[in-house]
Amino acid sequence: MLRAGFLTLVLLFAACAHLPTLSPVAEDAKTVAQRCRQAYPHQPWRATHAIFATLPFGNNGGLVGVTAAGPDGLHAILLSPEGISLFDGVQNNRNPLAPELKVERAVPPFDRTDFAASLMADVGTAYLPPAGEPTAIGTYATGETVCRWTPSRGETTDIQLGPDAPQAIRTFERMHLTREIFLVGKPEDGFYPNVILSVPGAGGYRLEMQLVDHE
Amino acid sequence: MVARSLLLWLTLLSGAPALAAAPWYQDWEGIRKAAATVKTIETNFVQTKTLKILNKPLVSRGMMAYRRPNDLRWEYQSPLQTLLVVRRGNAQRLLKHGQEWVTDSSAKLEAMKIVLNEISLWLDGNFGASKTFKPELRTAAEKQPAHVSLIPIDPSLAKIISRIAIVFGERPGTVSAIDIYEGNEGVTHIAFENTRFDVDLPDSRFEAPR
Repeated sequence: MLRAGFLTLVLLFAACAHLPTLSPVAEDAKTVAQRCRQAYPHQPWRATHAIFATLPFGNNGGLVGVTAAGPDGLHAILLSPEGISLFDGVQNNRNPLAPELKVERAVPPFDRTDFAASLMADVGTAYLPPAGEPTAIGTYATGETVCRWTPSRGETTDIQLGPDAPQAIRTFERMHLTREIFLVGKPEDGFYPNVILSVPGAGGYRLEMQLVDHE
Repeated sequence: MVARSLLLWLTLLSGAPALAAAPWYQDWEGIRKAAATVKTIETNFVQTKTLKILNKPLVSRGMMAYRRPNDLRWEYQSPLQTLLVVRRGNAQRLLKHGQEWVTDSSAKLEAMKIVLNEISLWLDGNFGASKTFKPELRTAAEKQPAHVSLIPIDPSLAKIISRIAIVFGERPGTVSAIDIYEGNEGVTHIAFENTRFDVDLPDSRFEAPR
């Protein structure tokens, strides 16, 4: 009985561990790729977001996020509502497979060893386009058109198109969903009024980022 | 005629220091006495934070209400909606999520909680009672109004906030601005505006919304 339960669990796990299948799409690949890139603002840019964070164990927190992207890389600053800098980091993305991260300031609890890298990965996924051309273009079983980037190393990125604009970004690592980002509202210069990022799993969290300003 | 005018000027000039009343913030005792005359304060504030990576400063707006001896409401209305209410020593921190106020339960920044908890002491003119900051009274100097400079006592807090300046208002017992200096170049400036004194503030102003 126990063995049967274990087998079911293994089969279920194996069933989940694959990327969503893409079916061929009739549209021109270049046109679709161009539409997918509209998920991201043109560099250089600077933006300010009001962030509502839902953290593990039912904890909530509010932050202000200031981000900038350009030739120097990705700059992210987190502020408390009172304006105090909690985190300030710059990631040089000249080599996308080995980005250099410099933390200028990190006050507790934002000084945890893994925090800076995961923050930059979240911000980078939401606001920086994957390098190069999509490795696949197709439709999910549910019908949505998707551009997929699967680099030789690192995460796979799916950008899902809606009727008018991109509406979701998903990342996968070793076939498992690592991040799901919903792009909500009508974008202006590549900036959406609301971006909702969810990280699944036991230590998962959800960030609701409301656009305050962009330059 | 010229001599008379000159004499008048000299009289005015020599008499000026004697005629001008000493400011209410000349010493700690004067500050405490002046603060005691203010029973309640209700004010809006504009907070500006200048960052090197932004061309325009980041502006937050909110309101504060204070009732002696230590009831406080510190509310941000934009860009984030957050609320700190302190009534009879009990503090609650809340965040607006959609249409609902939820408890801000993140262990976000102990340093800022300390600062907010100190505000009642500042408004009470009781700077010396702080166990967190060492106060220094600074008279007005060129480009700098009279203020109390608060230096963190705990070195771990000093890494986050290097000092706070509490700028006195014209009306005795009042504060016109707060400047929070961080270890690096960052400064947060909070300017109070449209301030009302001694208005009736009901208990509900210092309680979490139901």
